[in-house]
Amino acid sequence: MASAEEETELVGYIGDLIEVTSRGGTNWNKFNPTTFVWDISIPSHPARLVLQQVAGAALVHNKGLQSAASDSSTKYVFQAIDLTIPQGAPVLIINGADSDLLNRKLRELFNTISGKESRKGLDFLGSIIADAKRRF
Amino acid sequence: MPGEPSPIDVNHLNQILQSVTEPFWHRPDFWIGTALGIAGLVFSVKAFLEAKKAAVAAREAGRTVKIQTTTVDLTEFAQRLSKIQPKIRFVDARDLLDEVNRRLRRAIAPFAGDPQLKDAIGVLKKTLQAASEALAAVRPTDAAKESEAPDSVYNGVEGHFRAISDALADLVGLFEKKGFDFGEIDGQR
Repeated sequence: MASAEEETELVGYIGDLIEVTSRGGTNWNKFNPTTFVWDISIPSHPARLVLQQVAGAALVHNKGLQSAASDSSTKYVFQAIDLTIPQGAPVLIINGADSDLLNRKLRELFNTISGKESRKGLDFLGSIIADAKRRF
Repeated sequence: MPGEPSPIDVNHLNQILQSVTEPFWHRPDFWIGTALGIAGLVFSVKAFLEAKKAAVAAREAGRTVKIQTTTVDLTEFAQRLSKIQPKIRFVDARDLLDEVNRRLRRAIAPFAGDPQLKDAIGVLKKTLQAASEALAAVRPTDAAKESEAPDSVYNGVEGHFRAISDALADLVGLFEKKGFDFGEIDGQR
């Protein structure tokens, strides 16, 4: 759990990431349907950022029994990995389950990345169709 | 005198006539036969009832054994699911969930219609379905690069595996209660 000061600092960093991503200054790649990875190729300090959306287990009510699961909300997990360390160990992990504020910021980042991904796909499709229209 | 019946013949005829005209229920052999017949019937009915009770007891003993076996299986699945580790790979998580899913459904199928268990079984099936969907959401686009996002599989499925474990614990409790109920019912008989 981050302290209040650390949380404020992290919110600032995530905000910067959202801004850079919005401007197209990042290269996030889809690792799996709910995870994005950005390999940062700084020669002196290669690093990797990982952002994952984790769907909470559905809350299922059952007559006379405790619920089988406890959490139905979506959480986000962020990892910063130092690639100079063998095995690429995470040096920072932010779990949205620990802080609503951080979870909201991570959700914003995830949505920004997803939006960029969708835009990329739509632009690609649009360019193909435009090209086809010109030819035929 | 020749042609006249002798007194002995007359007496004999009188005896025969008396035995024919006397009501049969006045005869002791009738009551002995009747008593033996009733006793036979009573014993037959008692034997039938005992055999029926024995069949019910045997069937319930079989169900109790089945419940105990199923309880052991469910407990084992819950333990296996709760032991997943952060570095778990997608194929290992998929194999574990596939096996648990298949064996669990087989174990609970005989009890799906049981009014005391069907709600808990319904919950368990929903958690299994949710876990399958969560696992599909962390399938790597490139399996060779799976280690690039450490713990992504664990993060994605751990909560769902825990939910299955919780649902199993509820079900095991009901199974144990059910086994206890059989004992009480048998004791009242």
